Amino acid sequence: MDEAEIRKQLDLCMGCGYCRDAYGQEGWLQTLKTKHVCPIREVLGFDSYTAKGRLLLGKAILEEELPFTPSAVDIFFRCTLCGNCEAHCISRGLPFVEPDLKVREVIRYFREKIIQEELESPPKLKKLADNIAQHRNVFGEEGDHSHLMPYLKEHPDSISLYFPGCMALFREPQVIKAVDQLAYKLNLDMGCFPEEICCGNILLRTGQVKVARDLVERNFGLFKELKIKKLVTSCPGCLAAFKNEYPKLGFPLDCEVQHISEYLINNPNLQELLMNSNSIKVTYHDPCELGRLNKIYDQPRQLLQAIPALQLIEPFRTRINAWCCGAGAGVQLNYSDLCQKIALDRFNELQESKPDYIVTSCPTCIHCLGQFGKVYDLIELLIELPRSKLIK
Amino acid sequence: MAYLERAYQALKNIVGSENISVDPAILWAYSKDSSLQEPKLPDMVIRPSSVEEVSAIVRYVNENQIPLIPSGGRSSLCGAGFSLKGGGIILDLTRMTDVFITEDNMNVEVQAGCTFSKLDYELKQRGLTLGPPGPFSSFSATIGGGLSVNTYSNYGANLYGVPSDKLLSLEVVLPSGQIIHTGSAANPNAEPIFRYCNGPDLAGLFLGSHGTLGIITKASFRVEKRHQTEVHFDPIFDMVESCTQCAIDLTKTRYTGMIMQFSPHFYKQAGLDIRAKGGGLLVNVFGDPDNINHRKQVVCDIIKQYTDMTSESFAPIFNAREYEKYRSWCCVNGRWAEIAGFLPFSKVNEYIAIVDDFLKQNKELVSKTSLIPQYGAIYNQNCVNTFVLLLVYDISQENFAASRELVKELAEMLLDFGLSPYWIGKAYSHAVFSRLASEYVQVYQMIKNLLDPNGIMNPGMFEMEQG
Repeated sequence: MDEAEIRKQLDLCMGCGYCRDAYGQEGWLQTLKTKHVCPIREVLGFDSYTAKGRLLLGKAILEEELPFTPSAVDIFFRCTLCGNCEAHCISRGLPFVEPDLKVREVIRYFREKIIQEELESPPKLKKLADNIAQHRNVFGEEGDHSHLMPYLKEHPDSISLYFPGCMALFREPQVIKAVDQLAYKLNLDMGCFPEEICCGNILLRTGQVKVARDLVERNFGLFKELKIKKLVTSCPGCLAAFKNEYPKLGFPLDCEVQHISEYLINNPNLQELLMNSNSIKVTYHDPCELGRLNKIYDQPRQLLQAIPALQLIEPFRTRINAWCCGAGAGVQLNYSDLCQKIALDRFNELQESKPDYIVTSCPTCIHCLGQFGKVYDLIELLIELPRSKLIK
Repeated sequence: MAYLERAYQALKNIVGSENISVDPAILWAYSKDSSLQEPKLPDMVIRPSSVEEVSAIVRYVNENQIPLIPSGGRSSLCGAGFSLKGGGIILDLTRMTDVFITEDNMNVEVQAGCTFSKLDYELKQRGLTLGPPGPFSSFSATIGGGLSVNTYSNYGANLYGVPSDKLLSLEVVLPSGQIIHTGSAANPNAEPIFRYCNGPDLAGLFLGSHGTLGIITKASFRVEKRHQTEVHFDPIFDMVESCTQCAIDLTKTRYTGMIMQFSPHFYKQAGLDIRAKGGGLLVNVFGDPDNINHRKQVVCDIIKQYTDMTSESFAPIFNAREYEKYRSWCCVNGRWAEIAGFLPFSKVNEYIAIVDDFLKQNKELVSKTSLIPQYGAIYNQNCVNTFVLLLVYDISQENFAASRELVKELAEMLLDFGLSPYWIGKAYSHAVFSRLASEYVQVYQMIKNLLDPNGIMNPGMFEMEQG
């Protein structure tokens, strides 16, 4: 969006405050069931961290009522871009209304502006960009991960390419191992690319478009060269990058991009694999970029419910109302205390029904929520269950 | 600003550094409400968590004569809850959200920063309701803010009245910092169970005071058993008179929780292909499984006396609580202005004709500014709450200015017709106060001077110029 479009977006906000609280079960369009709306505001307290506050601040900056002070910069970066405010915004999906208010786009605009104007941004962003520039991953680490994917690495010419993403590769390798084992058991026509480079999503979401563009171009070229038909990922961030961001930057992939849950849902052999489970209670956490951004709510649940004797218990805030894990869009990197508080709140909520397993389908959510107890990746559970003996 | 630095240091000790800010980047969020009023930046925002903290803050600002503006959700359409003159301290009460339900006494005590929808949610868990659950913006509007601006609740109004009608007692921090309780709770040994006792009804002083006389920190309400089911009717009429009389007859049944009357042009303006020369109604019948069929039949029989037409496509869109969202939908592409207030049943037909004429006379301006007018009435037990919405679709500054002028002109005309607005705010304070009897205004001023001699409370809210 250019400045004129952003100004129009800023004017769309009537200041109703539904981005702060939307308490109740009979909610917006009968689908919302939540209490508070913005996880950041709930920790930091000031309305300045709601969408309304950020938009009023953005307007003041564009009107030159206020310069980009360090705290103004901070307000724009202290946001996980979870999209809960958009979901509860009074403008959402309504008749008579041209565009919805795209709060995430507006916040990203200001982040990009901060980076472009070389203003002082959260210091770890620079380190993040350096890591990616030098090592092609967000952690700035080296490593051969092919041992995690014995099956996938043997199938380099498959029509589908599995793209684990930085978080799974460097911090949550059990996700990749599980996918590899499942691919083996189901004899999937899926391979991997050992020299994977970051998708660039975290850079795009933190306003570092220039650095990201290099990755986008490289990945675009690579996928083209490999002539893959399908790009499959466990990471909702990577999914969002390839599916939502690359086309916007002028690099639409000519292959289908799917989350692993979408990819597996119609596999006819899956049911057979899931025959042996015991009676278990599972609760599922919707990752923001998978759910609210890409509306993938049903597929992970369908996979879970394909497991016999599995009782799926929804947390109070679920699907479009799901509470963020607190990690997204650079918040875990730059504001770890804030992230921890949000994650603890969510973890406690997920535990309320005393499930045997807390499950999600995002390595970053696993990493963040996993600080407080074991959180399973969806595929990990599919692999784990037939082998496990639950002690009730 | 030396005063600000001193105030910051002093007040920080009361609420902690994480609950106070003088940072302009933080303060912009508190610069306006949902009205067409221009934003004004305060000097500070402070977020107390208890009545004791509120009291300590007020004592300090009173001693130092610093303007103080109590604030909740800032979702009002009249210009309230923010610094109308710029500067001063915003007292953000949204940390005070506790709800205490006493089922045995059928009452609830609720802190001022709790939203109406949180209160409704908590009551619902126990099969209870306030009756009128809150204003259009009940997701974000707070109890303290709502009572301070005499908020209205369409839903439930026909059966239960307005939220203030359910009030039993208030806890208020006076501009001196003293804490008072009204009604039965004026006796420290008693509970907040009744409003009209222990002498004069002091609660009434603070309802609608727009934060000019004190800070409401807690309220107690009488609650009702929640109805378990409801049925909607959406009749349309050939004549406005039939529509109005039907609504009055329905009100007398005491079966209807909400009755909204829409002007003949409303449907077209709302983008619906419904022709109703005399306008229409949206009727909500409240009941329980054992009586709903009987009530439905009674209501149906009354409607049939006046019309056999219905706008079938209307009810699904406008069903009760969803209507509030619909109305907001209409305005979301821009903003809106609303002129609302009470009239007797006997003036409804004339009111609709007056608004019609006004809009015809200003047809060019309405068209030029892309305003979409919608107007009608909501039936209380003995009067109606009329509403004229001017939906501002084209959000250019020129249109805003023209819209503001149009709203002002219409508001003044309706006030002269006898409209009694429930909220006033900065937007309508001059027009309202200039029409009030001088004795009334003088008494208000005497009370104001007595309670707030330093004039710290919400300066600029009421403009007292009399006609």
